[in-house]
Amino acid sequence: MNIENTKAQMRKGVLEFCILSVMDGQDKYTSEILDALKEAKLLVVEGTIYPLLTRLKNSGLLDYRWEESTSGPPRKYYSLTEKGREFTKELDQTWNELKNAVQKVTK
Amino acid sequence: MNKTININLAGIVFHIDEEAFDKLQSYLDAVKKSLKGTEGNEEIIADIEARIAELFSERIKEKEVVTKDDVDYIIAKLGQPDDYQVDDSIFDEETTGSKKSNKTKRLYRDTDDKIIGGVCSGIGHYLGIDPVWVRLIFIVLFFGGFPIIAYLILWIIVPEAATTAQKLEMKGEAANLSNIERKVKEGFENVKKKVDDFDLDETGKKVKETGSSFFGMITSIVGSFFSFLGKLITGIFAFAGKLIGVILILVSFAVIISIFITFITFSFIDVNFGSDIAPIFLAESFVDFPVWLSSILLILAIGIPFFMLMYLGLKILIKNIKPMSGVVKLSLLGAWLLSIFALIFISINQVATESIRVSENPKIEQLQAVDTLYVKMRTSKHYDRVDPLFNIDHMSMSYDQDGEQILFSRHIRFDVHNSNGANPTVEVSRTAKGRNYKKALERAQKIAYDYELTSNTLYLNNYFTAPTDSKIKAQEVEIDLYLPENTVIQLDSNTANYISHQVDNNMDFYRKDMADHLWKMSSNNQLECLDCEQ
Repeated sequence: MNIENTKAQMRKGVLEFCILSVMDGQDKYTSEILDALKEAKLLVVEGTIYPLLTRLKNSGLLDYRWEESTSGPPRKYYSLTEKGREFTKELDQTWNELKNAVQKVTK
Repeated sequence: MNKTININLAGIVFHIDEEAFDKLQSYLDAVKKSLKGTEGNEEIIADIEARIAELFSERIKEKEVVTKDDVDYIIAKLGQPDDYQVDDSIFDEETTGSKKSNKTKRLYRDTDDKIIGGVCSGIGHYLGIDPVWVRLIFIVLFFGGFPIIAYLILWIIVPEAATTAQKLEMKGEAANLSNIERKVKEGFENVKKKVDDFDLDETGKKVKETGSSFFGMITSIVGSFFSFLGKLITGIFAFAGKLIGVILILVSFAVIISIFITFITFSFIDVNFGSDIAPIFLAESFVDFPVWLSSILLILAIGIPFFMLMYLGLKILIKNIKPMSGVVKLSLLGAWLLSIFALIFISINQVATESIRVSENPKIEQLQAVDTLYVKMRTSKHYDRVDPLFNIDHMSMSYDQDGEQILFSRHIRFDVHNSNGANPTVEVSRTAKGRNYKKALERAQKIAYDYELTSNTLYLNNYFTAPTDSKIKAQEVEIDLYLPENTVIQLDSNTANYISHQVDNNMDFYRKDMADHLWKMSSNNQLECLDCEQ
């Protein structure tokens, strides 16, 4: 059993939820999402995020629009769709239950 | 000093040095591979490129050029290609499950380490052994001939490791036999794939996109068709081009080799072809110029064009083959023209040496008047064994009783005429060709021919000889037999091959049919058959 592997699995499990949460209430472009996740140490390398974002978008949870940037290429701003908001809400609930459960068990 | 390349990432232009470019390209290629089979992979890659552009823009404030350090930074930040793979369990119902490990080694030609086409070094990388061993095996087996063809086929179908990614792939993990087989099959299917690339769904989509416009639909279909045609033609041409290259090499190689083999067999080695003599001596007694010189000229005249064809074939197959320098090209052209002119001169001279045909005055000998004259050919025990495989103008070469080379021919003809009342005579005339009258006559007089006359039988030698230095110049011997009317002549069966076609007879027999019959000389210079079935 590889500890790093287990850790990575744990992180990956909540990554989707975290990405959605970052965007809750406010549109974010890719770099901002990355910064938020990296700051929270949920992400080691950026690579993982791109397939996830595309999948979430293709599942109708996210939407995006292009915005011009002064310092680089045009930015892709992601926002939650209605479906995405509901999805996030449900995940939030699940996370809280899970958190409590884990806390109870590990106490 | 470094070369820089301009690249366009997400619509922004960067100057990037060559080393950094190679690294970035192989990185992106690897990422693409890693994402192969992932849903929406093109979009993901566009996002990644945009991110790289963004990071480059941030880092490159003052300096102009993206360097390897910048690329390393990007890779560290974005992660290794494997990091792009999403854990399938998250998207269980969506994953297509087509993701597979792309770490298999692929067979490429290593043109960085090549002797001819990099096939051997490529195989070496593939099997994980030193290319030297592969080359050695090829060379050892070379004499079986098969490896040449195998090499050429591999050369065609195995792609060259052009990009860094391919070079890495080439040196990847160990491979097994089934992979080699797959690789070979893939090569053959390249053209087929190009045909299959004509995606019907794509055409369908395009048709839908252009909406209800009928003309739009037509344009779209026509457009797709032409792009398909373009792909197909490019594919066919690429394949045909290589095929032509291989054919050029094979044919010209075969011709050059056979020229040399012919040359060596016929000149340096004095092989006895059965009881015959090496053709080189025959050629020497025919051509007025030294044969070795003529042979070299002939080799140049044929060999140079085929050598150029072989070079052309190689050039088609390998793009980066060392170009032939102008000096070499001009020398080859010069040598070729020179050999052609020399050969023309030799040919004209050869024809000139046969410009006149002269017969010496016939030697006339009186025969005793007989009722019946028997004509028989006499063979020589010495020359009888000689059956020339090679001959020029019926003349060949042999050795005389003393073991000296001698020209030898069976070009003997005899004719029968009416003597118009006079006593029977036999006339022998020797003929030869020459540059002028005198030379032709001298040559004719050098012909040694013999016959013997007994009371009622004429024994004619079925051969004549001539010294080798008189050369082969259409030498021949003709015997004319003059017989009074009503003389009967018996032609022995062995005269069949020596009867002249001019002999007039009442049976309308042609040459050899006249042998083995009794004939009577009639008044009108015609032979009448006495024992033929009417």
